[in-house]
Amino acid sequence: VSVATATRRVGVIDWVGSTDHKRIGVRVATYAFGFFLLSGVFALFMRAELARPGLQVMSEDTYNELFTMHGSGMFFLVLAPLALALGVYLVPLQIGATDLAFPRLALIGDWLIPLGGATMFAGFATDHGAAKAGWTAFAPLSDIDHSPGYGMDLWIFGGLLATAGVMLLAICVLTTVIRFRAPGMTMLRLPVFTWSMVVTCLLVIASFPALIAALSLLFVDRHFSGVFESPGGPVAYQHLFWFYGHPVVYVIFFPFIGAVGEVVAVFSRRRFFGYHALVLSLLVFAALSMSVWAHHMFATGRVTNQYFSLTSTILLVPAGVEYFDLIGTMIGGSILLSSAMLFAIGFVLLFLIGGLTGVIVASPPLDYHVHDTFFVVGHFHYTVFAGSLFGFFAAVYYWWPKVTGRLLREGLGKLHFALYFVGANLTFFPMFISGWEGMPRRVADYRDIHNLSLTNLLSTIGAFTIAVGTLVFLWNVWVSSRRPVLAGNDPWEGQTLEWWTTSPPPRHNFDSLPKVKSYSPLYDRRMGEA
Amino acid sequence: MSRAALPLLGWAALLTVLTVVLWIWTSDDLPPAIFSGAAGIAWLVGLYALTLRRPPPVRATPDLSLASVLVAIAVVMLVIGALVGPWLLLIGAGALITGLAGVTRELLAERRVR
Repeated sequence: VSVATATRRVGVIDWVGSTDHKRIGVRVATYAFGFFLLSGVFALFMRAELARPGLQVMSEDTYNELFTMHGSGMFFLVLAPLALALGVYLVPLQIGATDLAFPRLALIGDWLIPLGGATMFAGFATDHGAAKAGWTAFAPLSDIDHSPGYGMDLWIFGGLLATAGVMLLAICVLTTVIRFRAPGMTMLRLPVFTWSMVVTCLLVIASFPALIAALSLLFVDRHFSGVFESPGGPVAYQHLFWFYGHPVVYVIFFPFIGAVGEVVAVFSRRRFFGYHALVLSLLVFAALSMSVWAHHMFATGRVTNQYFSLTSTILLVPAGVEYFDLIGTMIGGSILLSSAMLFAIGFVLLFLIGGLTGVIVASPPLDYHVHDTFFVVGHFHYTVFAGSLFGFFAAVYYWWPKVTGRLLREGLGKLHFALYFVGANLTFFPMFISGWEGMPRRVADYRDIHNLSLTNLLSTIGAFTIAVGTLVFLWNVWVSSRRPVLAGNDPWEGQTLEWWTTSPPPRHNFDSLPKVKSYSPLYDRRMGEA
Repeated sequence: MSRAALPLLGWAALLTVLTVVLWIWTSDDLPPAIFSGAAGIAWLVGLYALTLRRPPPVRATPDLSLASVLVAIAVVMLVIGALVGPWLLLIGAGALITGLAGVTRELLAERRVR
C-alpha cells in the first residue's frame, strides 16, 4: 500500500503564479466554492424574506440585488468555473499528459474569474447598490434609465471577465485533449469524464462569445447609444443572452454527468456500459442543446415556436441514452454505497425531475402558463442544484483522495448527502406548486392564497437544511485536514489513469504509464491480473 | 493531420445542419445568424484541431508565471478603466505591456532550454 507523498509547503507567490494545472484547478475550485457560499447566503436571506407573506426582512430593492447577485454568482462564478476546474485538474491526468496546453493562458483565465467576481460584487459598495436586473439583465430593465448607477456596469464587466476566463480555460482543456494524449489513448479510448469535458469545452467556445457580445452591447447601450431601444431591441438582446444562457446549463451538466459516470462505474465494480453510445449521445446532446435557446422566449411571441419546441423535446433522446448507460452500468454490478455513489445516484434521480419538468416548459402552451413563475425556478434548480451540484459533490468525494492524498470521512459524507437530498426536495419541489398556482418569481412578497404560505415555508425550511448540509461538508473538510487518514494512490480501485500516479500527483504527473488499450486502462490491468 | 479532429468536425457539421433547418424554418434573420456564427466557430475549432501535431517528446513547461498574472490584472484594469476613467486605462496599459514583456521573456528562456 502506498502512502500519500509529502506535500511541499506552498508560498504566496507559488500559490498566485503557479502554472501547474493541478494548482490552477484547485485554485479555481476554491474561489468558486467561496462564491458558492456567498451566493448561497444570499439565497438564505431571500428564503427568509419569503418564509411568510408580509415579512420585511429586507427592502424590496435589497431583495432585487440579492436575487440578481445570487443567480449571477452561481452561473458566472460558481458552476461554470467549478465544471472547468474539474477539467483543468483531471483531464491531463486522465489522458496521461504532463501538463495542460497553454499553461500561461490557463493562468490568465484562472485569475480573470475571481477578479471578475470581485468586480461584480463591488457593485454593493456603489451609490445605487449592486445590479438589480436579474442574472439575465434583460433590456430595457438593465438600461441606464431603469438601472442607474455603477452597480449594473460593474456587473457587466464582472460577467465579461469571468466569461472570458472560463473560455480561456476551455480552450486549454480542449487543446490538451487533442494534442497531449498518452500513447495508445485514441479519442475512442478517452475516459467518460474527459469526453464530457470535450463537449463542454466545445459548448463554451461556441456559445459564450454570444454573451460577450450581449454584455458589450449592453454597456454601449447604457453609455453611448440605445442599441436595444428599437422595437426589436429587447428581443435581440434576449436572443444573444439565451444563446449563451441555455448552453451554459449544459456546460454545468456535462462535466458532472461525466464524473457521475466514472463514480457509477467504479462503485459498481464494472466497466462503463455503452461507452460508444454515450460518446455519440454527448456530441448530439451538445449540438441540440445549442439549438433550443429560444424556448426561454416563447412568451415574447417573436420566435419560431415549432422549431425550438421540437429541438427542446428531442433533447430527451440523448439524455435517455445517458440515463440508460448509467443504469446499465449499475445493473449486475457489485454496488458500494459510498458518499460519492450516493451523490451520483442523487444526481441521477433529481436531474430526472429537472429534465421531465423541462418537457413542460419546452411546450409553448404549458410554458405560457408557468413562464416567469416559481415553477421555472423549481425546474432549473432541480437541474443546476439538485442535478449539477450533486454531481459536483460526487466528484468531490471521489477525487478528494487523489487531490489531497487524504480521505474524507464517510459518515459525515453520508450525513451531508442526506441533508442535501432532503433539503433540495423540500426547497425546490414546493416551488412547482407555488408556480403552478401562479406565484411569480422575483417578488419580495406575496398574498396568502392557494396555500402559498405553506409551500414557501417548506421551501425556506429546505433552504436552511441545505445550509446545514454545507456546514457538515465544511466540517468534514476540516476534520480530514486536522486528523488525516491517508488514502494511498488508489483507494477506490479506479479505472482511469489518474489513479495510477501518487496522491497527490507529482508536478510532472506520472513517472510511468501503463499500456492504454481501452477507456478504462486500470480496469483492464486488474482483469488481466485476475 | 490529426484524426482527433474528426469528432469536432462532425460536431460542426451537426451544428450546420441544425442551422440550415432554422434558416429554412424561421422568417427572422437574427436567430439563424447567431447560430451560424456558432457553427462557424465550431468549424474553425475543428479545422484548427486538424492542423495540430503531436508535441515533441520532451516539453519545457513553466512552473511559475507572475507575468501572466500581471496580464490578467491588466486586462481587468483596462476593462474597468472604461468606466472609471483614463487614469486606470493608462495604468492598465502599462501593466499589460510589462506583463506581455515578461511572458515574452519567459517564452524565450523556454526556447533556449529546448
